[in-house]
Amino acid sequence: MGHGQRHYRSVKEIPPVPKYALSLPMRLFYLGLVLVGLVTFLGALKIDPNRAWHSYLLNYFYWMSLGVSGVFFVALQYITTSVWSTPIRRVADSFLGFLPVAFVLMLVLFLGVSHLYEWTHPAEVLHDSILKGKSSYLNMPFFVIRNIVFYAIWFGAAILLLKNSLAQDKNGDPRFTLKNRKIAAPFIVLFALSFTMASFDFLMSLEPHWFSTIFGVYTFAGLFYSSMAMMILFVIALRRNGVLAHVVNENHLHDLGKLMFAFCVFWAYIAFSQYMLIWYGNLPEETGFMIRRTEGAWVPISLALLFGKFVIPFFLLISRPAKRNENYLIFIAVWVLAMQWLDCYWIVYPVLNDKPVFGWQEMGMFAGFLGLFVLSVTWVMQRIPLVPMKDPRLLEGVNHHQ
Amino acid sequence: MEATFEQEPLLNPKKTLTDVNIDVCKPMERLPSRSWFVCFAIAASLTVFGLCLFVHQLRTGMGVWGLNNPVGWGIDITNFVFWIGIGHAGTLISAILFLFRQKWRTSINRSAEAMTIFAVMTAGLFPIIHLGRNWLFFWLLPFPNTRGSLWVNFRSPLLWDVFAVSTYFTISLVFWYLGLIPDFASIRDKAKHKVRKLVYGVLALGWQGKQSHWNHYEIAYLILAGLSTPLVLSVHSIVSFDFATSVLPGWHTTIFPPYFVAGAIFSGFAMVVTLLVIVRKVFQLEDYITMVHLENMNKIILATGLMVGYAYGSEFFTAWYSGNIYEMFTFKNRALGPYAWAYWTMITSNVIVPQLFWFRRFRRSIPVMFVISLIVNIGMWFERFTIIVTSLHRDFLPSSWDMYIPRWVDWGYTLFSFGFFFTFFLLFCRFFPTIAMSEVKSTMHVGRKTPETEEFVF
Repeated sequence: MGHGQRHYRSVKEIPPVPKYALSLPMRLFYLGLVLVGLVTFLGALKIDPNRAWHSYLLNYFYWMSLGVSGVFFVALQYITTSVWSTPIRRVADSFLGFLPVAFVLMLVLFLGVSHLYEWTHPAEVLHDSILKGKSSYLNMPFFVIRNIVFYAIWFGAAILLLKNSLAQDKNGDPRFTLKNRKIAAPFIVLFALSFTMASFDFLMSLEPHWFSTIFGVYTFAGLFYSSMAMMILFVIALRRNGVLAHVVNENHLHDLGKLMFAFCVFWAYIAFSQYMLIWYGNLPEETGFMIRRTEGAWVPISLALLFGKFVIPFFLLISRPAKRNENYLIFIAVWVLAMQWLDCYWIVYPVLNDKPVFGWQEMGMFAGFLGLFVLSVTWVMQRIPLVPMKDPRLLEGVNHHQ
Repeated sequence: MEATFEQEPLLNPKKTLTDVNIDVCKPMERLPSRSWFVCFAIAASLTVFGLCLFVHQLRTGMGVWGLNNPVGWGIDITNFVFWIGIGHAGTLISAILFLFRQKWRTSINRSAEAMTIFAVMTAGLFPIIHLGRNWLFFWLLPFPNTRGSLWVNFRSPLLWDVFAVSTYFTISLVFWYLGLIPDFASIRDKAKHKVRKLVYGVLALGWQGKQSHWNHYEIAYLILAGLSTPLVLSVHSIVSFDFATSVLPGWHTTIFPPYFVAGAIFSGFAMVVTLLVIVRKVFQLEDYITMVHLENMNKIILATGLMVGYAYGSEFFTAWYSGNIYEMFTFKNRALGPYAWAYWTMITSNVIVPQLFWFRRFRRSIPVMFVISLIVNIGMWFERFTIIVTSLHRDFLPSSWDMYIPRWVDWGYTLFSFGFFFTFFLLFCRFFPTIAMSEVKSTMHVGRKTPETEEFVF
């Protein structure tokens, strides 16, 4: 048992959880970020629409992954009948607030596909037998429809899981937990398929001749890795402003940190598998992707990814105190989120330019998406109780120790 | 039905701490039953039969196998990958489930780890059997030598296999032995015969159950768990590199490492279910290996089965998506070609049948899980057969196509592998405690309400 951690004998002993509210200055700050993003996007569209759309796609995929990671985390907790995560589960639930926003952002993205995807140009497809062969999958109507269906799955499951959990807040009926378990299991299967296809659609088809069977696993590894970082930031913030102060202790942080560490290694494993096999096989249709990223001006970015996303966080997170110290975890979480951005950049930007470019277009749009994410997630947080007080597993979850 | 959240007890709640030692040691303290002798005789004869086959192969040459020019890897490598895969559940249970605080692992980890070790031993024989000059097997190891200082090819994944498998075997063995130490001491303390006391006393390495002993034990266990966790992934990843680093359609694909790992855990758990259903019945250990354990393993079989299905889907889709005609041909050939029967056996057994485990009724039915676990093992054997043979028998040049028809030697070695594995497993059941007594004791309170609070213990 950690120091200063209180052991509650019953749920009644837990002090009431205060309501969460985003203060006005913070709200204005994030609204400001959204404005910055909007202005940047419009400005960038005028100057260089290709770059604007690539920056948009990068940020869209990055934040969409984080948005959908919430419902995945919740579903995972239900099917594994997890106890420790009960007091922090609502934080992940709240990520669903970003999904409708991301949906609208995706509709906007559809306007820019001709700047991004070669396969949307009929003239080029006609002259390319390989692209012609793929056109029954890579065509605009199917692309739009399937991605809309994916949002229906993600948002639908997120809402159902949260609704049942909120209903449980009234009477503590364990049947809601069982119901959620029944929703969570098939959802995970659908999630694996839909997120894989979304990754193929938005990222892999940027280079429509290239293919990699592991690609969906690669983007998933990044999703969960960055999701843990985002969860850590939200949980620590909520702990500091008093909302989760009495229900979350350093053992919860330790577990989130362990998961972040595990997915740091998992990402490296998947990234290595993909890189090594393509490099070793050296087949022209595959290896172009890696050559574009590991030669010339892109070398530093690839190395930064190797060290920044794996080596450095690996050593930073390996010790036990590291995963239990708030300030230290905040630092690593921000670092990991930055590296996840770099990973998306590493996938998207070599298509745009043979040299890495970074400027106000990238920074401003990131700020805009960040603002949208925080505002939409906190919008949900202000409207739901942030701890499921009547969850049958709450007491054990709050008393969680190693 | 009123829904409740009382955690189901892991063990029969009537059992006490003393019962654990008595019940687990019972099979070791009496003479083996007649059926044990029958099983052992069969297994040992198959092992001897394998030795005869090996002599036959040494005298005649590699031609005794059904292998031919395009299909240089057949059932030999199928068996290698199959048994290595089986060897994955043990370390997953003892290492990864330990790190995930899955207390239910305690009743099953001992026999699963034993299974791992014997499976890896069985697997390790096949690359050696498969060598042209088997007696030079030690050339696989890099050491300073007088053969003009001839070194192994460090760039070959086959060599990485040597390192990966031997590391895995060593760590698994150490891990297993470490867990056995406190139990050996219990047997020593219970022993009445002098020789028995001496043998188990030596094995127990002077364990006294002191506070300091337990401290060291727990720390060592945690460290070994941490070290074995990446090994669970690395071994089968490297086995998959044997295939995926080539440029052969159907072999060269990036999803192979995680796909092979998922498949290995899938088949490993199926084998644990098969074995434990028998062990708990024969040794009357139903109170210790309960429905909770079996159901949880069936859930893992379902989950990893879905991952394997995902990989099949991803491969097939990408074969089409890539626009590569050779890749697409290989997959069409798998599904519709001369080995379609093997392919569809694999799909049915690995993807379709395990879906029954979505239903709690089937997850908790002994006959159903026993049959499914056998089907999964057959399916996973055919998965390796399909991957190896279909990719080889029809490659880029139709003029070099040929069929691989296993001969009696090929099948004989397969039978031998089961005999070899079961010889060791049966000996283990007689001489070693099949359940980790010291660890099970720490989970006896699970699912009982602690008297002073409203909490349940998980």
